[in-house]
Amino acid sequence: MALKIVKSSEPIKVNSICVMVYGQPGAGKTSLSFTAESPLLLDFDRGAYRSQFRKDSVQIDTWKDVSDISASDLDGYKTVVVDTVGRLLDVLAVHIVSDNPNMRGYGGALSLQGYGALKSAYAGWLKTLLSYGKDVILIAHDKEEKSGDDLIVRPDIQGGSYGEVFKRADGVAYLHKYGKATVLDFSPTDKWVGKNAAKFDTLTVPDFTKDALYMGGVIGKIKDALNSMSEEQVKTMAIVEDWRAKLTDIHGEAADVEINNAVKECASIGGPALAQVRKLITDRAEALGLKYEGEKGKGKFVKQAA
Amino acid sequence: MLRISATLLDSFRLLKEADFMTPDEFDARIRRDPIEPSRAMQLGTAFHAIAEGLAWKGIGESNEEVYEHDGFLFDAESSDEALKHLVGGVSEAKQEVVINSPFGPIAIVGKADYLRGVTADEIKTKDKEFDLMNYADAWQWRTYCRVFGVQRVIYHLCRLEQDEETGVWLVRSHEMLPLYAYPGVNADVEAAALDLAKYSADLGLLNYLRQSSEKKSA
Repeated sequence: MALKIVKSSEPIKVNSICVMVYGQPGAGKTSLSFTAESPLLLDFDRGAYRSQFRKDSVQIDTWKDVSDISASDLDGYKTVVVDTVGRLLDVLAVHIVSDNPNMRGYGGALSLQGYGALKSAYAGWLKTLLSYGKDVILIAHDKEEKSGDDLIVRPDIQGGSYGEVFKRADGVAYLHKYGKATVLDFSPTDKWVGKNAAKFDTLTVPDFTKDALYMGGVIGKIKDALNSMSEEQVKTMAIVEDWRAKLTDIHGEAADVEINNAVKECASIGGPALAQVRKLITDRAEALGLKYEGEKGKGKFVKQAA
Repeated sequence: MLRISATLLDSFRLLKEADFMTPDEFDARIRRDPIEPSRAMQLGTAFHAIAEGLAWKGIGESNEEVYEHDGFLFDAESSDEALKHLVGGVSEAKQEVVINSPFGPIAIVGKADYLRGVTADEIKTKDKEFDLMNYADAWQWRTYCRVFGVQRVIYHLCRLEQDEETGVWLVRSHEMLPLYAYPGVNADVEAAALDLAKYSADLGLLNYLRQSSEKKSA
């Protein structure tokens, strides 16, 4: 089979992602997840029966029930829902300790080494699902934590593994009631955590009888945003590299004039490329022995007296 | 012009979260009292030099390739692996945006370890486990979104471990934490800067923010 090489100048397409939704019991997290595209729910919490929009599910008792999940097990499903990720980690922790009692720390919790094994096993398992081309929705209960004088709402996930779950999620949203509406907020605030690659405003969750594929649409938009970001990344890097090449060509007697022209020209660059090009100009000017004189933004590069 | 950096905003956050910084410590940050760099800070600075291309690369005593900077030795293979994403772009990019406030114009300043495309990269080192959420809660990445207009900030969390025999530091683990610009991020950063300016004004410390700005442009 021919290798599918993606050139460094080409964006890498994101085909499957992981999204975490957390919120209060009864907020509708499981029902929301059933509006993803062709979902299969891994029911670690044994609460799928409560959803009026219930679709296919698997009752999970031990880590062995899911550890060897294969691509063929998931044929016909596009989304894997983990309900809840906190309970998944509990089940995984039990498995790790039963396989290797040395991983047990004081009071029955995992040792530091055990947490390392937990993070590694979770990461491997998640990567496997994504490699099958499945989107993953992680459901979590919420919990309030003190932050100074305020309270902040976070997913209820055991200690050291919370960061691992957060890190690997492409989107993190807090599902909660706002007046009579139920809203999904991906943006972090001073009151809850989030991750919002798609730059969603607060989303009002619709009646699922009228929009049965709502979460599928949300996931699709996050993928579009990540892919668009990947394209922007390539375009912006190309602009910066063009400037790098252009600046390398500046030398000789008129170098100061050319550098000052470059400073004027780069002012029209928008977005994140501007700071990068300015840094390249400053570095090149320094390499050419030029010195900036005058007030920042109003001065110019001059030759240094010999 | 007042000048507020991402670092100062995070010190202010730590002050408000009570347990992490005392008012005296924070006031010292505003006054820019000199800080004696700790060994951990020196180690981090030396590791950053690798990403900036400032570290010397050669063969160490154990015949392995190493980087050297300011007396610290780093295993080249694991360092290169951790920093392999930092290609293209520029290191140590600095930019500021100016906002109006009742205290006069405020320059919000960001200095990123690395800028490439629409991404800012920030390298962090520790010789123990990281608390990832400390970075997710930070003003630093939000400030970069505001100041540089980047869409994504990636924290590269490098856990370093020193080989007792050779003294060479190895990158024991490298984790990437991506965070994304969100619709309200600019307003949040500006509000935090105003909040800090107000705190400084209330305590009569505003001049220190102003003086540091004047020193900078002198």
